[in-house]
Order: sequence, then structure tokens, then C-alpha cells
Amino acid sequence: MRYITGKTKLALLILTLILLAGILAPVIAPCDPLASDLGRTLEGPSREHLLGTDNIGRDLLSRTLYGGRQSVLVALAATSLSMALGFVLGLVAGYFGGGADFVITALSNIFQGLPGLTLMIAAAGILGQGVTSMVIAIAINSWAGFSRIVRGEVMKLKQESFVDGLKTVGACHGRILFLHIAPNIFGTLAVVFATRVAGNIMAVSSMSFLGLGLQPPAPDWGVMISDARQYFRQAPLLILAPGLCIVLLSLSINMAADGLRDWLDTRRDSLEIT
Amino acid sequence: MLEVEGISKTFVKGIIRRETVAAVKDISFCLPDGKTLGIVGNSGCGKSTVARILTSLVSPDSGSIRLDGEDLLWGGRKIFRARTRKLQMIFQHPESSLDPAKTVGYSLEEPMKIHRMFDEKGRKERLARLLELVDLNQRLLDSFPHQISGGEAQRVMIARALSLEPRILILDEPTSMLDVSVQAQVVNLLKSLQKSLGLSYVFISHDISVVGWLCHKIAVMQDGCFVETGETRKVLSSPRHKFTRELLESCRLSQDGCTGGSYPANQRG
Amino acid sequence: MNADIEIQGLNVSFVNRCCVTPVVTDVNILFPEGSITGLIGESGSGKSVLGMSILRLLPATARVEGRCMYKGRDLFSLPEAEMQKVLGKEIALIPQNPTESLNPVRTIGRQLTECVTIHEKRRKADAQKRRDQLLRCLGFHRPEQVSNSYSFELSGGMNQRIVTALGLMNHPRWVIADEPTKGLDAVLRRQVYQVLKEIGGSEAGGMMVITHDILLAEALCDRLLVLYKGCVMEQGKGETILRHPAHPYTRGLLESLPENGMHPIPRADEKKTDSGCRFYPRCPHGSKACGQMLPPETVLEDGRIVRCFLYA
Repeated sequence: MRYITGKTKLALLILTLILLAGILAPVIAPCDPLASDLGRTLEGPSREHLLGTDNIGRDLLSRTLYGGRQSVLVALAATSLSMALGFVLGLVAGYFGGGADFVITALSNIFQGLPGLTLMIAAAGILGQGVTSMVIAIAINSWAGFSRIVRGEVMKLKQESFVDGLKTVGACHGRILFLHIAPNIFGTLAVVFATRVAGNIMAVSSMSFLGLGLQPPAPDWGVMISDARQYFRQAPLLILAPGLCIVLLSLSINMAADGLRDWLDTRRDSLEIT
Repeated sequence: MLEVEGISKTFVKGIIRRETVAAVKDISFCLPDGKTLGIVGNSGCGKSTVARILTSLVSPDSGSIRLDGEDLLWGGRKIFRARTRKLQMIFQHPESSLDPAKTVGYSLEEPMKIHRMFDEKGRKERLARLLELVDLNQRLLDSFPHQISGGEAQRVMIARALSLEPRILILDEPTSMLDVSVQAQVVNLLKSLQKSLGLSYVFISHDISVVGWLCHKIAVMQDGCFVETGETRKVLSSPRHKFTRELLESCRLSQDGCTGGSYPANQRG
Repeated sequence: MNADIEIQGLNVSFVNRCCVTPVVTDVNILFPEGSITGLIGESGSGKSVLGMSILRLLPATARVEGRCMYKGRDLFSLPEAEMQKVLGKEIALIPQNPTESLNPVRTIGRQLTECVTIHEKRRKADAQKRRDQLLRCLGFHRPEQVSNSYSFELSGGMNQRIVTALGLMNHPRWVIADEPTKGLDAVLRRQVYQVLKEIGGSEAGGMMVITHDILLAEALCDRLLVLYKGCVMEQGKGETILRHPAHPYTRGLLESLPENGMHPIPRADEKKTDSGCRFYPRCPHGSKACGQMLPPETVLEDGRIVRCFLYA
């Protein structure tokens, strides 16, 4: 029996709301997120500006609504890229073993050993500023996790006799790897993907906060927090609103990922009676 | 006729301190068409390695395998593919013999796809006939491996092996994970298939009583060698080698068994 | 004090969000003290569930009804703390999968003595003496050496003997052995058989052997219970049941043995339901009544109890 728990439903609801807000931002945002009004800076909540304004008089609500768009997209792109890389390398390492496995495992150990943020800062520094380089930097940082998990799963599946069975009916390595082993890993991979997306949204925000990712005046949560540091005492909402969004988004993705894992894990519910 | 001559295999363990383990030492036998050879031995005696060598999952260090005088061992990809059609294998664990992410129907059809046998429609017809042959319901085609029982899975595996029209089936402990009544069904199925299709079997097992029931010839294996071979009846009634005697004795457990053959035949319902 | 175990009206079902699956139905058995009883049946027959229900080791989703009387107390309604005193001390389990049942990061010796010190802290020296004596009994000539090793250093057959020792450390009155020969080859199976036979004769007051291995049950047990889909089909003296099986299922089971010609039990007739007798869809003797209600337990002249309308 498959079912979805209440906790997962709540997570999915929050997640949908945040994503919808991002997608529909151009329609529902009351103001232009970039339009500044130097006459009305650092205002508190009012009827025109429901969450108030920032240091150069931009509408905080509109900026917060827009703020998730780019970081989510960048995080999705980076996670997809790192998953593709880790998936292929993990499959090769786990299935063929030997020298290929040795090299790939050594590489992934090195990358996992390096501190993530430093690695990303270094990569972004070498590649220069911009969205593309940020995607690449994050992918470099997170492929190793995927490759390790894929490798482990492949090595486990390789022991099952259906793989031997396929060899004895004449199936080639490509067929076994991509038509049979890979689909059995997709479930696990989906969960890891979801968890990594959450982590990578944080990474995008951190990089933007440090000035290495998205650049001001772009409406992005990381950039917004970075800009608002000095005005925290006068207008705490400037940091609280985007900060809360980051936390809620990551949390709901993580919780949804947990739910997804339970849902995919069909065998956990079947009772074995002997 | 399958002729196996002087097959050996040594595994190397460890990277720095290399240890060699001789799994199979100089094994030879021949198997006439339509007959069954039983290989019995304890766990770890190398009997599964023999099966894996026969089906090319492991390549031997030396020796030859010939089917009707044709060499099956050394050769390119073409020979390998031809061989997979003549020699098929059934594994010990029926539950893990099928890809859990694919339907039974997909797994059954796949070997025919790989070998480009028939067109789409022809394959579907053949699937239906194969299921009939192993006495399975057509509904099974759409189910997933975790939804079917061990006995059913083993029948599916037999049907899949048969789809390639093999001459020889290698059966690696096909019933050791099944209940006795299911084991009886599967063994009887194998027997009737042998009669109708003229298949030869290499039946690997640690259960000497099943081997005695199914096999024409028997080979007793210990530490990678055949220590005794011969007609099943002769080997079981007057074992020559010490290990065969030990094996037979262990099966019996105690001397005064009452199910061991003495269960009166007229009681059968 | 009389140490029989008596199960009365036991029903076990697994409760899921959507449905209730009965796994053991209306079981009434008396396990007399000092006897070796075999619980035989195929996978899905509920034999393990029956054994585990006595020890209260079923998962939380299981719903257990009925009573299990032991020394005048109902084990099913005993408080958790009281039950813990019974477990391992009065009734011990020899689990299946010996290798998985041992803690891989603790030495064998420590795991063995722990069984005793859990119940009484001070008896460490006694425990060690008992451990060495047991290991010697079970065919380990140098107990000190085995005590210092870990489960993964030993073979499957050796681990089986270790878990057997584990079960016997506290001189339990009852031992429940769950599938002791599963996956073992002929030689190891014989070793385990000999160990169980020996402890059945001397060490333990009584033993239950849960197994699908009919030949083992025959050689080891005085009494047999034949289970099918959660019902006890036939119970009585082992020899009587195996020589003259009364229930059609027992007969079918015995005929499936290679020794008796491997005649399989017919497959289930899909038109018949198992809401009455569980075996009705496969039974060659089925009558109308079989499909409608569970046959009552009938006591035959030779003392065994059969659940079949042929004898009702």
C-alpha cells in the first residue's frame, strides 16, 4: 500500500505555494521589483507596500516574490548537471570496477574532501562571474555525492542474479546498464536529487550573498539579504522575509523528499510472513 | 552431445598479498542429448563455478567445451551469441532473477528481442505458447516480480530460457529456495519438458534426494574435483568414494526414518 | 511446577491502513513439558508467526487474540517487564539467519555471557563457566579461541551452533528454534540436527522446531503440527502423522517429497474460495461444506487432532 502522510502533504503545499509565487510573480507582484523610489526608503509595512520598502525604496513584497525565481532555476540546472555527471561516472565505476572505479572513486573522494563553499568560490573565481559559471561551480561541488550513491547501488544490483541472467541470454553491457540497472536506481536518485536541490538553493543564496553569484540589483533572496545587512536594525523585515523564504523552501523540499522516498519504497510495506 | 574436457578455474584474491583459490580443477564430463547430469556437493565446492563456466559468465583458465563437436569456448562475439542460444541457465534465487523494475512480460520477451527472433506479433504469440508450456496464467505478464511467488518466478525463468530454443539447460539449485510441494511441481515440469523437447540438463544441487529423482548420471564434487561419477542408481546404492558415503549419510539424518521411501504407496489419495 | 505451554484460541492478523490480513486462525495447542514439537508447513503457513507470537516478538502491526498459558500465567497479557524475565530465561529463541542474529562488532564470548548478566549482573564468573561448557558440548574444542572471535570470522554452520548456545545459556525450560536448517547443505544440516537432538534430550525442558524440512522434523520431533495458511491442519505424534497422514494436505505434502515420488499437490482451483477450509481450493476430496466453514478440530482414535470434514 502506498500512501502519503500529512507531513508530506504540508511540505508539498508549502513547496507548491512558493513555486507558484515565483512563477506568477509578474502577475501578482504589486510593483516592479526594480523600480526605486528614493523618497520612500526603509519604510515599514503600509497599504501600498505591504512589507515595506528597502534602502532605495523598492517594494519588498515584489522583490521577495521574484526572489526565488532565479535561485531555484539555477539550483535546478546545477543539480541536474551534477546528477548527470555523477550518474554516468557512478554507473561506470560500479559496473566495470577495476581501474575506472579506482580513478572515479579517488576523484570523488578528493572533491568530497574539499570544503564545499571554498571549492565553489574558487571555481567561480576562475570561471568569472555569471549564472553559467555559478551553475558549473555548484555542479563541480555536488557531483561526487551522486556518483558515490549510484556506484553503491550499482554494485548492490550487480550481485542480483537477474544481471547474470541477462548476460546468459546475450544482453550487452549497454542494455544491462541503461535498460535494467539504471531504472532500478531512479527512485533513490530522485530522492537524492530533491535533497540536493534544497542544498543547492542554499548554495546559490550563499554565493549571491557573497557577491559571487547573482548580482545586484537582481531580485534574489541571497542578494537581498546581502544588501540589507546594514539596515537590519531599522527594517528587520528586509532580512526576515527572504530568509524565511529560503528556510521554508529548503525545509519543504527536504520533507517532500523524505515522503517521496517512503512512497517509492514499495517493498517496505509488504509483509513477509513465513 | 555436450563434451566438457579438463576445465579448470583459479580465482585470485587480494591486491597486495595475492592468494589463489582453485575453484574448479580439471573437470571433464559428457552429456548425451535428452539426459540429465546431476552435480552434487557441499556449499563452496565449486559447483556453481562449473555452471558459470558453462554459461560463459566466467571464463575458464583451460579446457574445452564442445557441443556436437563444435567448440563453444574460444571464439568471438558471434560464437558467444550462438552459444547463449544453445545453453541457458536457471538460477537459485527466483525472486532476484527478474529485474524488479520491469514487468514479467518485458523480461520474458527481452531475450527474443536481443536475438531478433520473430516480429512484434510473433513474439507475443510465442509468449502465450511459452506460458502455456510452463503452465502459467497469461495474467502474469503484466505483474511485477514482487507480486508473484517463488514457484511462479522459477517457471517464468524456465519459460524465458526456453524462448531461445536451447539444447541444454544449466540448473543451478533451481529448487533449493522453494517449498517441497512447489519443488515437486517444478521438478515434474522439468521432467516433462525434457521428454517433450528433448532437452539435456545439468542439474546442480546439494540435495541428493532430488538429484536421485531427476538425474540419469551423477557427479559428486568435493573441493573443485569430481570425486565420483556414474549412473545415478549405482552411485547412490553403492557409493565408492568416502565423501559420497558421507553425503548420503548426512541426508538421512537418523537411521530409522519412516518417510524415507517406506511411506506406504497404497496410501496415496 | 508444570511448565506446559498451552495456546488457546490464538488468532493473529496483520493490520494495515487498508485491510486486516489474518495469518493465524483459531489455533489451540498444548505443548507438554519435555516434548519436542515440530511446526511444519510451507512459506506463508504462519508457522514462524505462531512461534514468534509466543515470544511476543511480532511487529507492532500484528494483532494477537487468544491466550498463551505458561506456569499459570497468560504470556500475552503479562506486563512488558515481567515478559522480559521470561524471555531468554524461561523461553529462549534460536533465531533463523544465525550470521545476521549475531552482533558483528562484539566478540562471541561477550555476547554469550551477556545473556546471563542481563538477568543477573553478579554472575559473570558463572556465566563464563557455563559458556565454555556449552561451547564444548556443541563441538568447539577450544572455547577460549571461539569466545575471542567475531561472528564474521566463523562459518555459517559454526554461527548456527553459536546462536544455539546463545539460546541455551540460561538453562531455559523451553527453546524455540526458528528454521534451524534453512539454507544449510547436507553436512551442516546434520550437524545442527545432532546439536538440537542432544539438547532436546538433555538440556532443555521442551523444544519447538519451526521448519519446512519434513525429514528434520521427523527425525527430531515427538509431536508434529502441520500448518497450512495459518490453520493447524493436523497435530499429533510425529510417527503416526508421517506414516498414516490423515489430512489431505499432509498427504499431499508427504507425496511431494523426492523420497515418495514427488507428486505435487494440485494447483488451486480458482473457482473455489478458502473462506471455509483453507485447503479447499487444492483439495482432491473437497465437498460443499468445505467451502462454507472452517472444519472443526476432530480428535481421532489414535489421539491426533485433525481439522477436516472427512473425519468430522
